[in-house]
Amino acid sequence: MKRFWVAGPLCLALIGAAYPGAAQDVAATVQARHAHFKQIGVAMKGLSEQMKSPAPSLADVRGYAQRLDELAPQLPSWFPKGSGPESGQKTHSKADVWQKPDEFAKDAAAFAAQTHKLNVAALSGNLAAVAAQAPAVSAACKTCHQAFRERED
Amino acid sequence: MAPAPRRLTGETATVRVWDGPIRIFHWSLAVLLPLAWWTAQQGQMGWHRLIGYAIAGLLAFRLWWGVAGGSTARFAGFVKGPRTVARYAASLFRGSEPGPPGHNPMGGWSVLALLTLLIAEVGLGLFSVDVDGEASGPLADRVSFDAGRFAAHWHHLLFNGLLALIGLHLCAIAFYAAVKRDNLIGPMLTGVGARGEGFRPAARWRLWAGLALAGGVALALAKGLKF
Ligand code: HEC
Ligand code: HEM
Ligand code: HEM
Repeated sequence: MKRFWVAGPLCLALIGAAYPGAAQDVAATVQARHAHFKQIGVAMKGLSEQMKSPAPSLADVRGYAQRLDELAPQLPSWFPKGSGPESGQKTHSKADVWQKPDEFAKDAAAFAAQTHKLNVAALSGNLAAVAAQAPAVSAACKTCHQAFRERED
Repeated sequence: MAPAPRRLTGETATVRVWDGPIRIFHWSLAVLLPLAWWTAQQGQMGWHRLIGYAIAGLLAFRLWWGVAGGSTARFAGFVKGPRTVARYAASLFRGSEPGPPGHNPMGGWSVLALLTLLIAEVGLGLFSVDVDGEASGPLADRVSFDAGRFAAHWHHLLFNGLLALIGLHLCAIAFYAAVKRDNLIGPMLTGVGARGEGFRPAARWRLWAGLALAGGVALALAKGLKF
């Protein structure tokens, strides 16, 4: 009986502490996801501006390509279960991210493969090769967004 | 002779209401706007941008034509003060007497609203950054990523505003046809109608100047204002 009086309130206290904690976790997860995509977007924007520039900076191009190559393999980890539209958070992720995990993983892997090629091209110092690879990267963004991101802004 | 009441049928279209450039402007817009929407939906951003530049050129032309064009195109001719608008609105459901050719006092403001929204829509598009890192506007390199996404967000929202205004536009035209028995579409197609007298055309050189301006604006924007 004594055990009950110890374990019971302890358990309730834990649940009470965990409940808002869990909601906060989801909010933080979604926020972090958006922050990561923003980093990806900033890098893509910077890259495409360099490629359009009459005098692109190889150092900048390399920086952006490396950043993308670092971020791309992490992408699946930004989508833990429970961080979808059902969480009530402001997210454009479709439920399909979690309902069709194989397809999502396939799109993510294709994206990572394309960014890696981009980084290899940037490291080689051949800007023409970077320019040739860049459309394949944004095509990989587009493929996944069309399938897994709600268009509405 | 007092002007006869206008009727949808049996009226003789005799007086000039719109000059050619306004009509070409209008029907180009009516074709290009749905195309702009459709290409954006399809993700055909290359085409979307080309259409956007064409619309930008049309709008530049329209602004010029609003100060230099035929009399019914001139802002000074059709933008009326609140009192005139109120008086016109009050007479809407009475058989109002035919006014001068061109936009009526309420229509004038709707034209201004449409043009303003269109200009804002194009302006936002120029700075928009898309989510695919593929097809940003030509001026997006002047602003931050966040500002570019902000522009894209409003580009999207404002399009809904445009749709609402175009809906109103079409309803107003239907209202004139059905209730007031006044055919507005015919004159916008052929240039001649039965309403009022006193159209004054613009000198030919002004047309060439407007076309040069429109082409220049479209090209300059397409090049991202880099020369
Ligand atoms: C494997 C799928 C996938 C790939 C690949 C992908 N994204 Fe996304 N992206 C998403 C999803 C899903 C969202 C919606 C996230 C949300 O709102 O929770 C998103 C959202 C975004 C956002 C908006 C973030 C916000 O704040 O709302 C940007 C910007 C973005 N992605 C850029 C990119 C770019 C650029 C690339 C390619 C270089 C890319 N993404 C590749 C799935 C992907
Ligand atoms: C994308 C769709 C459209 C847009 C953006 C649009 C825009 C405009 C604008 C800006 C004007 C003012 C003309 C000027 O002085 O510059 C106008 C007038 C007019 N439009 Fe449209 N229009 C659209 C579709 C249509 C359609 C489909 C019709 C016909 C059914 C139509 C019929 C007319 C008519 C009759 C006028 C003249 C109104 C008057 O007599 O005052 N429009 N439109
Ligand atoms: C009046 C003319 C225009 C109209 C009606 C129009 C309409 C639209 C619409 C409906 C969308 C889709 C928004 C969405 O639902 O996500 C869009 C997206 C876009 N438009 Fe336009 N547009 C116009 C002009 C332009 C111009 C001139 C440019 C720049 C050259 C431009 C660049 C873009 C870009 C970059 C996007 C993608 C934004 C995103 O993915 O979030 N647009 N436009």
